[in-house]
Amino acid sequence: MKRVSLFIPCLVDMVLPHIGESTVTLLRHLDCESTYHSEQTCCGLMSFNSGFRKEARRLARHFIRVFENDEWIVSPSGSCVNMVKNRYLELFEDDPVWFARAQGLAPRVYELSQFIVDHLGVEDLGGTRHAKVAYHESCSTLNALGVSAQPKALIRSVRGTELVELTGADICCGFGGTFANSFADVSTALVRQKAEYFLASGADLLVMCDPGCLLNIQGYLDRHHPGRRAVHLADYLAGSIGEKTQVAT
Amino acid sequence: MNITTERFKETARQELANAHTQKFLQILPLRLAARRDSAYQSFPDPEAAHRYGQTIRDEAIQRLPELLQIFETNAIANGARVFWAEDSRAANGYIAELAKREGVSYVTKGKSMVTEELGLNEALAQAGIETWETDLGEFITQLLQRPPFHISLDSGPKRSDEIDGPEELHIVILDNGRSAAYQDPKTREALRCIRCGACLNACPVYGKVGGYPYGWAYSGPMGQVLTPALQGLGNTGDLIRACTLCHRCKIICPAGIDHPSLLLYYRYKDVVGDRALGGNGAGWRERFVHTLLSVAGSDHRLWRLFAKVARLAANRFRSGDRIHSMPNGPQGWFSSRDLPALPAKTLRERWAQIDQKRN
Ligand code: SF4
Repeated sequence: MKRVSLFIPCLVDMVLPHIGESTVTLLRHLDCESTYHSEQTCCGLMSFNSGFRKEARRLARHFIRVFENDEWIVSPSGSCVNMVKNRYLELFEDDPVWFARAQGLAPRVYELSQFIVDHLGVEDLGGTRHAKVAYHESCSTLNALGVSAQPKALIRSVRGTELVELTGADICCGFGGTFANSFADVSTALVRQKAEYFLASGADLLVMCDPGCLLNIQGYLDRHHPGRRAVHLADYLAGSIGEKTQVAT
Repeated sequence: MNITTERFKETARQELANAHTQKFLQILPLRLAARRDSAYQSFPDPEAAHRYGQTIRDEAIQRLPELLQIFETNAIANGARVFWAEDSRAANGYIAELAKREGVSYVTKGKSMVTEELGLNEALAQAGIETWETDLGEFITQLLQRPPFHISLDSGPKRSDEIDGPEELHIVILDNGRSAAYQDPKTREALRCIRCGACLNACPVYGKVGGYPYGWAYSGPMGQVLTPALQGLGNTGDLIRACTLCHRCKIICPAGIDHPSLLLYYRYKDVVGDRALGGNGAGWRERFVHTLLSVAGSDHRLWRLFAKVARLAANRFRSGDRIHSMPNGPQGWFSSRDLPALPAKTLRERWAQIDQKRN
């Protein structure tokens, strides 16, 4: 049995905790034991992206202290994984000691679907779920981590699930963290386009690997197309193996 | 050329509402991207060609001062005259002066972004010299008196044996901020750009707002990395933030520019009010938020408290399981989106329960 350390993004912790629960469910299903460090807080992505590097460094040092003794660190968020794996090295480029610690940590951090498929070598969870789904390629997941085949393989392996074509699947949903608020017009144009392509695809659900995109797309759907649902890959897959996590609010 | 970079948001809003622009944008970037793809496929190994191009640009830019010297020597040896222009005034002055001296009353001009950067057409007009754009697209924009919308819709150059040699060849080597940009290894990266335009067609933001909001000769991601390097951060506060960090530009760029990383660098320099780049410094509100985040996030007990306060504050505005708006909240977000009401328990608070299920 593998011991996996859960890296729960603050957005998941506070706003979308069901994604974290589904992650535990999937890992348990795959014979991995999840550990959760309650000392974990925020990886510093938002501060780093906003240019506040001193503040981001403080959060990054905390993150490294909490996680650096773990063998496998898994997170249901492409953008947070990219922050820890790649951006920490930029953050500490002038600090050899912390740079080395960040570098040591980086190869042990995995995005969830990447861990399941590439590391555990599992492409079929044996689940069943009757639905037509489309897959949204979250930018950090696709372009920064190069993860795309893994989640799609996992979706396709679910009995009864049909993965349909999505136009512009790899075009940004317009989230971009604070961008969604400060460039609201552009962001809205992008998320509207994403929603339109989703509706045109004929899929029941839009699946993705990043909680940020999910917040954005679901937020838009709730406002303009009530009842239409976007869902995180972890929740979708957990549902398929019969342990549907309550989408709590 | 007039610089209107500081009006990014305003111009973007106009362009989003402009039916012509929107129609154009639905066609143009996709077409150009398709052409690029088919051109790439003509290489036996497109990825290797891509990497090779990046290496060439990397080397050329690292050796730029030396290569420029060699270029000057060779150009002079071949009978050309070389003028080193410190800035656009010097360059325009030299060209206008030359034209006057030779009694030139009109000039033809090939499509060139650097002359947009110089504002050469305007400068020549002021000197009483008429300019004719030879590129059809540019000719039309010239007639409309608008800045170019896209940077690379030109026809290929003529082979050298197809044209007669000119009587005199003058070459202007323009600095205009490039030496300063070269000093910093980060901004130096922006000088690698070959103006191919691939990043524009890949950019989701450009795909919605087009070229005008970028406010200077260079638009799209290349403008976002180049304009601050040449002009400083003074008027580019919005420009460097008008990006979702989707990384498509970085992946597609044949010159190997890491745009997201460079934009993050600019944001950092802007926040700290960097002298060399003319950063603006951050407002107190933003500074407060990030200080709070970093202090609370360095201690999980404080973080728990922070989560509780955030939940209480946000949920005051819930209606059912959604939040539709918050006074003093993120208005931009709520202009088109809801938020879920925050759940009664964070994952951390549910962990004991989740963990028990396991055993
Ligand atoms: S930044 Fe790269 S992709 Fe964009 S125009 Fe320049 S060379 Fe082309």
